Amino acid sequence: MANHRVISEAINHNDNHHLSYSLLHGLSNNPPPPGFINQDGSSSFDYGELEEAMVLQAVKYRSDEAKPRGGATTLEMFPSWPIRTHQSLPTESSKSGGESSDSGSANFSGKAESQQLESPMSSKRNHNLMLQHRNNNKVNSSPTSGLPSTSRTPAPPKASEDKMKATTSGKLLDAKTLRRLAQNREAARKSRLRKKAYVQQLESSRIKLSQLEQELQRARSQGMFMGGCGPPGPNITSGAAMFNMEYGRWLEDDNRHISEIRTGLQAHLSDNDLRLIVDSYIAHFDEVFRLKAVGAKADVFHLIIGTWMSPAERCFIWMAGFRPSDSIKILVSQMDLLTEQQLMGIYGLQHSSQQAEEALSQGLEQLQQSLMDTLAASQVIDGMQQIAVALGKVSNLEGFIRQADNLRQQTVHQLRRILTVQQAARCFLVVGEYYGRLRALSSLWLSRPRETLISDETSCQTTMDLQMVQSSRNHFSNF
Amino acid sequence: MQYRTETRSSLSSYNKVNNMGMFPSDTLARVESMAAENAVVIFSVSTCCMCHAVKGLFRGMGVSPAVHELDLHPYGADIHRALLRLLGCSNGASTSPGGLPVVFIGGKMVGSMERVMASHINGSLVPLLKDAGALWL
Repeated sequence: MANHRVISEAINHNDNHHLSYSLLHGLSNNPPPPGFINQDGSSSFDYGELEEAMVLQAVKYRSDEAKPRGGATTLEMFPSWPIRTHQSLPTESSKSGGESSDSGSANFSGKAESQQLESPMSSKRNHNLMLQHRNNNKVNSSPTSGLPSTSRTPAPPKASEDKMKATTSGKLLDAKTLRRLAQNREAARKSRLRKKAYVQQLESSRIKLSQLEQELQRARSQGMFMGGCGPPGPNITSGAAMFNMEYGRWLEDDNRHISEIRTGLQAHLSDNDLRLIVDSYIAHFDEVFRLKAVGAKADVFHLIIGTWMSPAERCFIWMAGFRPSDSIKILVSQMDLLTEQQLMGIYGLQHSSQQAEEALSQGLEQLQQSLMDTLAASQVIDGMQQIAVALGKVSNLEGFIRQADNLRQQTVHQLRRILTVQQAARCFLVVGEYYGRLRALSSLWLSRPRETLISDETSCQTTMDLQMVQSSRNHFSNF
Repeated sequence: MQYRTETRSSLSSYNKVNNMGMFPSDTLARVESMAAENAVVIFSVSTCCMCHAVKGLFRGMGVSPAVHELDLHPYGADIHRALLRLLGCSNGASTSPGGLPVVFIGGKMVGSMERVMASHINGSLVPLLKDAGALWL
């Protein structure tokens, strides 16, 4: 007896030592699969000799230590529970065991108070029970197996329960025990389910949070959801952000002007009325060049790279904007009823615009080459001087962007001079609608269904660009 | 000869109208004579990219301009200053740093790249070139 007590105490101390670890691990570990628990259940126990049983117990403890204390974990999440339920159990089981031997139960209840944990207690109880009821190995095996399994899992309860009922000759106390065990099982299962639900909730909110962050970043840099602009880089300057915002507003204005022109043409307004609309549109155009001049002074690279444009527009980008000769090409293909003189004028405009574009492109190319040479030069001159020279060259970029915008502005004004009021209105409508379709194309392309993992991202963009898609229907209705 | 008269009168009128005061007359004369030498005269800096662009523009049109690289000219700095003053009063501020390039056609100052391009787009450049004899057809 003394030996057993010593052994069991030693084992208890071990378990207490591991208690803190299990408490820590228990909260972070997932509930163990049921299969694991079953190993501690009835099936794994061999009820042979006492020594064998003891060895098995020792093995079980060791395996408990090695494993992430799954069975204990589940319960240790709510450490207060086992204590209450537990203190009654040992007394009851000891009572049941006590029928065969009083000394065993005495031992047992004494140990019960010193225990804090259910599993070692139950194991220890089993141990003691086994030791006490040497003769009734089979009998004892069922409580031994029954108790740990029921305390740890809802599964395989029935068989062991039945065994227990049968072997302990159906006492009232067993029914109570059974009820308590069933309650334990239920509580454990509920807590596991709650934990699973909570984890799922966390996961979904994490995904939502990352989506919201992306949206916020896009919104902050662009100011509004227009034209399906691409997502900005992480380091956007204040000048660039300012420009994006202003340009967004200008685009809104542009849409308004275009629809005004459209309704004006459809209503067959008089020349005087239409002239007002057309002149206001030209003033609106002058406004964007002014904005771009300010933007180029603030952040020329941002303008050149063109993230403020929709991706499809950016495909055709030339010197931080559209190519004037391209616009004239679009115009020529759509305009009819031009006099020969007008046609001559427009073709001449296209030609001179192309020459000017070519000249500016050559100049920019030389600038790039010169910058390359400066940066690639070996350190013959002082490094700082080299940087200063390079900076000086970069400062020329602004001049080129200004000249390109100047070219665009002059083209618009010249068109106004060549064409009559009605023709000018039609011309601006055609070109305006073209760029509107190009922007709508960008949005639709970005929100097309994709077979990626994060389908939520796509749907998020779709809701974002919904305005654009709806307004794009107007554009595409003219196809 | 025809060119020279035009230049002198235009430059002296600038002088009167804009009260330029201490204008070294020999520099002015030099600018005049240089501008009168050819149908198209470009004052440029060899390293300036906008100057390269304007040269490319004229060459692309089939015009061969007379180019004076002021950074390589003995009196370049003076000429540059004189040109800046001329530009400052007739145009707005030039968009290219340093004010260059400056283009003269038929002895008359057209201005910086901005003005040249604007006149090309509005169709006034080609007649000007034809009149100066820089372009045929």
